[in-house]
Amino acid sequence: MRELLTENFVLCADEVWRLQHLDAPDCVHFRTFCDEGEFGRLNAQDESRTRQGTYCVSPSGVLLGSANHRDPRRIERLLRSSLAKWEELSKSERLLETDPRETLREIERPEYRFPEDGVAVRINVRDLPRTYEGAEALDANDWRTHAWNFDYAWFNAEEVRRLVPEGLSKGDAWELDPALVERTFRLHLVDIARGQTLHYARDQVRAATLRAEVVKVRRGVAELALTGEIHLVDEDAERGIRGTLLGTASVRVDERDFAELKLVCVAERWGTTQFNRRHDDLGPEPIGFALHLATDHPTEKVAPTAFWEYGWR
Amino acid sequence: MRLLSFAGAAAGLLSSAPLVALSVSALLASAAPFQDDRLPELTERTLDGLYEAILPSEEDEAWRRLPWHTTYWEGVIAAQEADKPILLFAMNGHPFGCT
Repeated sequence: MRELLTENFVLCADEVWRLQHLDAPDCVHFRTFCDEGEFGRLNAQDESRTRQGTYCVSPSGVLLGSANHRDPRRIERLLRSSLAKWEELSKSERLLETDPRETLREIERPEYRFPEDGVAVRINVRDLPRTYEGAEALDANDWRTHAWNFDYAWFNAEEVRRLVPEGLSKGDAWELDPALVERTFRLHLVDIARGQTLHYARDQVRAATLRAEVVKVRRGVAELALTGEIHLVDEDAERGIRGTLLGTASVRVDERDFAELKLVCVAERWGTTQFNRRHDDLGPEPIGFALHLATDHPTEKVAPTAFWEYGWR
Repeated sequence: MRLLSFAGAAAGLLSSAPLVALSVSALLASAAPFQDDRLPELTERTLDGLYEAILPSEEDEAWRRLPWHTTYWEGVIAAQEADKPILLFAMNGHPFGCT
């Protein structure tokens, strides 16, 4: 299957709400074929429904096949039938008449705002074991028991400097920029373990603190101990998260930037939202977050889910 | 799945008495760290174990080994140049982030 994919197709992934609703050229191009499948539009006949799925398509926009399924056998059938249709197309039918690189300058998207001179932090989220007395046993065969998810938080260069004071030396201690900590916690330390959820508004933040203390400085790198608290509650107190944070970080003193980050949040979460699959698991129950610096891999330059809340100009 | 934004401007709506009460609550909260016996203990001793337990496994992230383009149009550009069909994986939330 891997060879079938990599030898015959160009692989790409993208966020479908944007493709489905915006008027940028790539979005318009997507909508020329997304509903042309063998059974019409994917995911029901309602025009408003998501177009989530796997699409095989020519660069010119001729749909070769589509499916919204995770069964590898069905996907393999999709790939093979799509290749067969591709072979029937002439070169002029399957390729765009104009160079698509010319269109790139007309496309605006958050990924193009990636903070090359700042920091990207990856936030991994997973339910923690329910080992307390009286905890209900979970079905190990239920995917939700093992669900995990992740998001990214971005900080531009100016924001990183706000987090890291000048001239750090052993024993220095400070509370990290409250506005940035609040933004990070309310937008990113949220219950996405089983699916997307809503973030919290500013007035739903009861506690969002992160403190650092320099425990050692060696060869221009300060080693930090991190501690913090989080307490977020929606307006009806029906959804929330409350817990503590502990971790370490390394910062380059002269450059005032991060070299390493290991930060864990252990919290209890309660409540549910439309898409995070908690309707039968309202809690409160334990949840864990593990934060670290994102790598330079291209797949780690995806925009934060709530990027529009950053207010970057 | 489109997320709704809750952005609100609550500060201006609070009267002075609740503000005082909130300030006292905040001080109390900072003085007494949250504890819940049902939660795993988070200490220097347990930090690394919890960190590793939350992270995805290499198998969970096996998909990264494939040569993905991270936007649809980058895929179109590459496919045009290579004269190959595109496979687009589209989800609510970028598939390489929170879905």
